[in-house]
Amino acid sequence: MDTQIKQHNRDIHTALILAAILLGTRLTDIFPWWSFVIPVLITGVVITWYHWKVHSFFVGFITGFTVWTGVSLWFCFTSDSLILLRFGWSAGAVILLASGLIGGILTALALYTGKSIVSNKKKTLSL
Amino acid sequence: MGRINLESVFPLLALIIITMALSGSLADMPPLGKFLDPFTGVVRNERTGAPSLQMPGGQLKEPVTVFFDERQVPHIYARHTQDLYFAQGFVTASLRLWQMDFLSYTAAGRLAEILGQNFTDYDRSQRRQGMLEAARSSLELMQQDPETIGIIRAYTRGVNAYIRQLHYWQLPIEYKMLNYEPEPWSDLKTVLVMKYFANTLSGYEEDFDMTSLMLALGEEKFNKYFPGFATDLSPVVNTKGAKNPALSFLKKPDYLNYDFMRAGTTVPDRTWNPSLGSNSWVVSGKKTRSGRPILCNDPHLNLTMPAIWLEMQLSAPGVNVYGVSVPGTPAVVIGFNEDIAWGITNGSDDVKDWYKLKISADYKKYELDGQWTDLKSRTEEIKVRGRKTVTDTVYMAAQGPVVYTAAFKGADRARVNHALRWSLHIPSNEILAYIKLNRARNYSGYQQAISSYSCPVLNFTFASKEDTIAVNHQGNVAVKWPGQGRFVLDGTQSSHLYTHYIPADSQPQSCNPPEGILVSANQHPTTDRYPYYYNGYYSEHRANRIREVLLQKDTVDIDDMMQLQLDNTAYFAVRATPALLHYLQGSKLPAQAAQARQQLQAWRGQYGLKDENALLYELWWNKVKDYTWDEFRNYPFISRVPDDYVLLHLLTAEPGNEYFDQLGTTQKETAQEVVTAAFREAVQAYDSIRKTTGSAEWGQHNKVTLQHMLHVAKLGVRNLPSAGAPGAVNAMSAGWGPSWRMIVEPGDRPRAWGVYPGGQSGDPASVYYDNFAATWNKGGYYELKFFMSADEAAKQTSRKWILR
Repeated sequence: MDTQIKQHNRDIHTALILAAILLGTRLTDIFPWWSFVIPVLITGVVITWYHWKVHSFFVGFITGFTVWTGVSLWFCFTSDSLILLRFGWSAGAVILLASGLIGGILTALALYTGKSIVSNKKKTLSL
Repeated sequence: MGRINLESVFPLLALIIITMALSGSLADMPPLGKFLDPFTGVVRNERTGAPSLQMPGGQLKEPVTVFFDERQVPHIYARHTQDLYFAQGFVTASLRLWQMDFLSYTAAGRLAEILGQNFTDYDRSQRRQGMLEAARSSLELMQQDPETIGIIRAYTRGVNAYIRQLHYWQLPIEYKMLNYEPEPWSDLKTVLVMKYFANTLSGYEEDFDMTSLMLALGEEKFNKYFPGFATDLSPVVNTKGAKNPALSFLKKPDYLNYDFMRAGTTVPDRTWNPSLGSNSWVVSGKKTRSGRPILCNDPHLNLTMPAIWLEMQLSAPGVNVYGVSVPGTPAVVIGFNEDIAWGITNGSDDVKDWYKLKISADYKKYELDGQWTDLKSRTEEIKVRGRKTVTDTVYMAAQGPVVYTAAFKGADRARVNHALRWSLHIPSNEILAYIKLNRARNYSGYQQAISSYSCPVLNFTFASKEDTIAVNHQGNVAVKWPGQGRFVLDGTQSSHLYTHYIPADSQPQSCNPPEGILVSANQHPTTDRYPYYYNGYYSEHRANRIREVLLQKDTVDIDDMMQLQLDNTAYFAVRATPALLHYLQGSKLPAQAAQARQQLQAWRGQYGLKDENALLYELWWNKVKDYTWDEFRNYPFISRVPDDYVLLHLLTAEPGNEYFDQLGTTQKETAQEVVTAAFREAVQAYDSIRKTTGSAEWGQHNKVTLQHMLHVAKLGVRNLPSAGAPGAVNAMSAGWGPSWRMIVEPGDRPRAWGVYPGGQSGDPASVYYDNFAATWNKGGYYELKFFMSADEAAKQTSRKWILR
């Protein structure tokens, strides 16, 4: 039971770290749009290094999806949402969903890749 | 030392591949990762409505204040001329950056750079027609005038100051959709936009059509069916000199024969819209209720989003002007100041002529007066997005560029190896004309201002607070021998080149006529009592109607002028309907058709929103035209039929004319049979349309769309049911119409009203993107806020920028 709670907490901690990375990297408006992938990947390496057991793909996807969709919704609902209105609500919903999917998949893949790079499994290559 | 897990290679590869795929454009789609990134992509455009102000200092001599009124119209107050135009550039870019940039690419023939290889042919055609070269040579001319170039450079600096402070997330949505970024603005781009505007209004040409028709019909018939002058005429200026026979009857030029034209005569569709006309009129204070003159103007252009025009007030020592500008160019193009008001309409003259050349197969020489002369050439580099740069050779003869050659035949095989002579190629300084007009204080100031204006030929209308009214047909119109330029010219003879232009004092003009009105609406500029030969694509309907309404009334006021701008009566339909109905007298018609006839008997040519007869008349008249001119469709070259007035004349004066006889029938039809058969078919079509669409109301069939310049349907304003028709003063049609309705009453304090389709902002996320469209569509006007001082502006506006 304790192990389950611990893992659950690790998932939440990882999600919070990822959210901070996603927001921090992109709100600066300096780096290219895909730049968040690198710190997320490094996070994957680090948490594995520290033996955190995290559902990396799931956590990465949910966090990426939530942050990208959430930020989109924030910009829509704190303005007149005229762009989305012009394209129609259904097209607007597709735009929001597609944006969430891109954020989710890339975050999930980056975290999973980072986690996979360093492993205690046998099938490894020593450097 | 760590350990690398080989299993990580696959997710890493997937990550790289997906990231790369989302970073590039697939087919016509924008790069999805960049576009849908919520931090800088399309969603972020929801918040770009109010541009930020982070201007690097030191670019202005003194601070400039920009007051924005409740319609987002900027009122710019500067203490120095160059500061004023710097601020105009900055403010214009903040509202319309993508539009002005895109127009400059379009004019220069650079669309393939941003839209890809499908636009390479467009770019080649544009370069070969000489738009870029014309802009370059005009800029060279402008550089010789310190005043003009100073203003152009200040405008350029202003645009660039705005571009430099933009972040990617602030870019207009179109840049994100097409995945490119704005390049620095340049003086050349300003001139290119001006040339684009000139091209829109002077693209008229009929040389190939008329050549073929003259050869097919012969001199007598040609002059009867394609006369230089229509019968029902209200010219811009009522010239009263000796009659010029060449204007009413054109002899076939000796060189014009089938041997000359044997290279082919197929004339394809063209994109230039001959219906791009305009209305403008001036009424003297002697004829108005207020005792002040009134000037009205509504140029008819393609209706686009963002809107063609941008409204603004420009104020600095020596100038305080309000009106509309073309985004990308300095000054106000149509408007008024504290003393005068002016309007423009298209002069509609033919200033684009083609010369048939004899060229050597290697394009090194061409024949001129029996001598082989060197054909000049230059190489144009056309950048193509994602592909190698294309090079194209443009050949230049003495007459002008050879637009189509064996290497690039375009869509228009008949024009291969013809040189184009176009007044747009002549270096000119239209910007100076507008700068001076903005400052003009009286009639002589106005005359001096427009004297430097050359292309396109425009009718300038003028009114001053001293109650002087005037009209000038202004621009470079060549001195031509009869028929010169109406037909394809012989490029092997230097005598076919024209070298002189009609002197300024001989150009049609009128000031303070006794009847107290002046009208320009793309009609003939003169009567046939004018010493110079000219031709063009003139339209008489609207001018006749405006004149008719103005002369009916002893005095008029602003409300009358608004009603006249929105007048839906088609002058021609009023005259044609009784002539058509005359032929139905005594005809035994089915019940439906008989009822339709009764309806039309009470119709007075009204194209109102709810009118149910306009559609029936349109169907009927078009059928009559189809049946009458069926012979013309048998010509391989045909692209036009005689003018409507010619057909009306035949209906009333020659009911037995040979053209009423239909092809493919044994009997000889007359006007009676043609009109009756056309009516029966029109009634059937009318009933079918009514059943299919549920309505015969004109507004339901005359729907106007303000098309986005990239044809993105969702970014346009679509299907606005509209009153009006091309032949009515309210010349509303599916994609073009009144692009700026303006009414001005000059006086100690000028009063003015205006409206245009669209809105001040070019940003679809702004409420100011299309907020004028509904008002414009319903025939509403805004009272224009013209401030006499900055203090006044400060008191009556709620938002301002201070540029330092």
